[in-house]
Amino acid sequence: MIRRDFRRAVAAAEAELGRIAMPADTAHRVLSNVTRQRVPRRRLALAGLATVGVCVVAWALVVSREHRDTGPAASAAVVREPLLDGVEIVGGSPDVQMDLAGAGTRIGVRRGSRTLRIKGWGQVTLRAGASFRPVPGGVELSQGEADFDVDKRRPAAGSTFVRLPQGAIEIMGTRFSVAQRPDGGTVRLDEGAIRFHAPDGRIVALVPGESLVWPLPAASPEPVAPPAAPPRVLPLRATRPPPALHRESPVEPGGGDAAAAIVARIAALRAEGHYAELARELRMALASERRPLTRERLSFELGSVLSYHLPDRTQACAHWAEHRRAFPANRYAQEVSDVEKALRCNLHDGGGP
Amino acid sequence: MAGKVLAPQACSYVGARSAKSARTAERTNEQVGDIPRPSFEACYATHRDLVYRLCLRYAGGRLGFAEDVTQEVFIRLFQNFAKLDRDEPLEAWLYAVASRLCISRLRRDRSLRGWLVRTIHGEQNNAPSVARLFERNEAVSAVMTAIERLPPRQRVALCMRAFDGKSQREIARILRVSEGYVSRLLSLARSTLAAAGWESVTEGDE
Repeated sequence: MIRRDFRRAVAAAEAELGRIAMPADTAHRVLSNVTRQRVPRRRLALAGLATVGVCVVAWALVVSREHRDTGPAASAAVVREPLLDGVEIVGGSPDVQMDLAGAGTRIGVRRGSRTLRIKGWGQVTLRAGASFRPVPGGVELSQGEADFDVDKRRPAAGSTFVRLPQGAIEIMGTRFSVAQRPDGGTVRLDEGAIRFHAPDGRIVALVPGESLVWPLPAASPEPVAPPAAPPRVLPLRATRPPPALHRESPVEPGGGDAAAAIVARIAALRAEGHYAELARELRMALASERRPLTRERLSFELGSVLSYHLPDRTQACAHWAEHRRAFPANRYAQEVSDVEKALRCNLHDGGGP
Repeated sequence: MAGKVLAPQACSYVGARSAKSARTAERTNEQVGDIPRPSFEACYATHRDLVYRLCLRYAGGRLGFAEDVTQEVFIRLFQNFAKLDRDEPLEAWLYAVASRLCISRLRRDRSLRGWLVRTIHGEQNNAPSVARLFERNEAVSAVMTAIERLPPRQRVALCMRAFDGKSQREIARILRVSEGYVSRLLSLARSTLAAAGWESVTEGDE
């Protein structure tokens, strides 16, 4: 290795450096920057770099979050737009495949799962094979499995329905899962309260944790005495434990074709959500009915419709007062009392037992 | 000297009377007793080449680096001009501040952040290299290249020792480190340069 003299080289370097002076334009620029307290350009560059970096990281976080929420398939342009009027996609599995049919009113999921938000109604997760569409007063599940998470509803808002090929599910703000097959189906209630309306008029109330399979078994031909308690409307009775699973018809058995027709008509109107018509039908049936137990039952049904589904509290209170007078034995004394309390009939209408 | 902004003679800062207090000496051109305070511009004109050359030496001839650090040094001076002790030589103050700022800048330049900034500015391509600045003298170019390869603190301490003949105690005071640490820095720098083929690296240390 060639040895070089450091001291001699340093002395030469010092001489070279001694000849260097700051260029005039540089000196002027530096002085100008100094007196104006200007930040050196490199610091500005660093600040710009940091800003760009922060923006990139923030953008990456937002994108990854969206990606996580909706899955890769959901990040496609189609899922960012509202699917139907009032229906938008809020999540789903990465492998989801779905299509719209019936002029875009029916949503089918062929593979994976898809979560939809229905404005003012709730959320539904459709599984593979499900076919679904929103309808007035609720939704319709024609086939497949779906999980529902329905928004809490105000008592005055009335019930909403999941229509099924073999019945309907009346909902009062709840979480539940439905599986609809060609020959029947099942519903499992996780939270809240629902009532299943069979096509023959039977109503089955479910409490959380219960499941129901349809079609329901054939109704027992012999009379049942005493009749079971009526379905309880939970939004007004949230503090009480929910009733046990029961099945009943609004009319006494053995009433012949006329009674069966009334039952079917009532069930259909209830499933459709036509409460004003249902109240009219119940009044007519009440006027023509002679059997006391059936009359009491029809009166109770009419009172329930007036109290929970039609926005006329005065009429409802008057009906309950009349109901108590007409049926002193009052099999539904507790329920009537609760409804009157909820409607505050005693305070405003001077009623009461 | 190229491009005189103001007459260098105007800065007679060193040896002037001490300021009574920082409050009474806030403006740069005010009178303190009978002796007029030199203007900042005059001091800049007097000392800018000293600072610029110092920075060039530490930066291995990078003009952009020297300009930026010179600007930072004089910004510090501008901010502290009224508060400086007028009995202390301004040259020593500038020397110490420039050395410390060079170390911090050199260390920053070695970081990822420094690499990013240099990449964005394209300084590697545009700045004159050591070889170009000292191309007339191969030995000078070689020694500046060797010094530039040293870590920042070793480089500055060695330059202070080799170029300016500062003692270890003076270097320690300027860099605000212990004498033992300066000794270690110089020892490491000597070893590196000796390994690169340089003899009698610093006078009086052997």
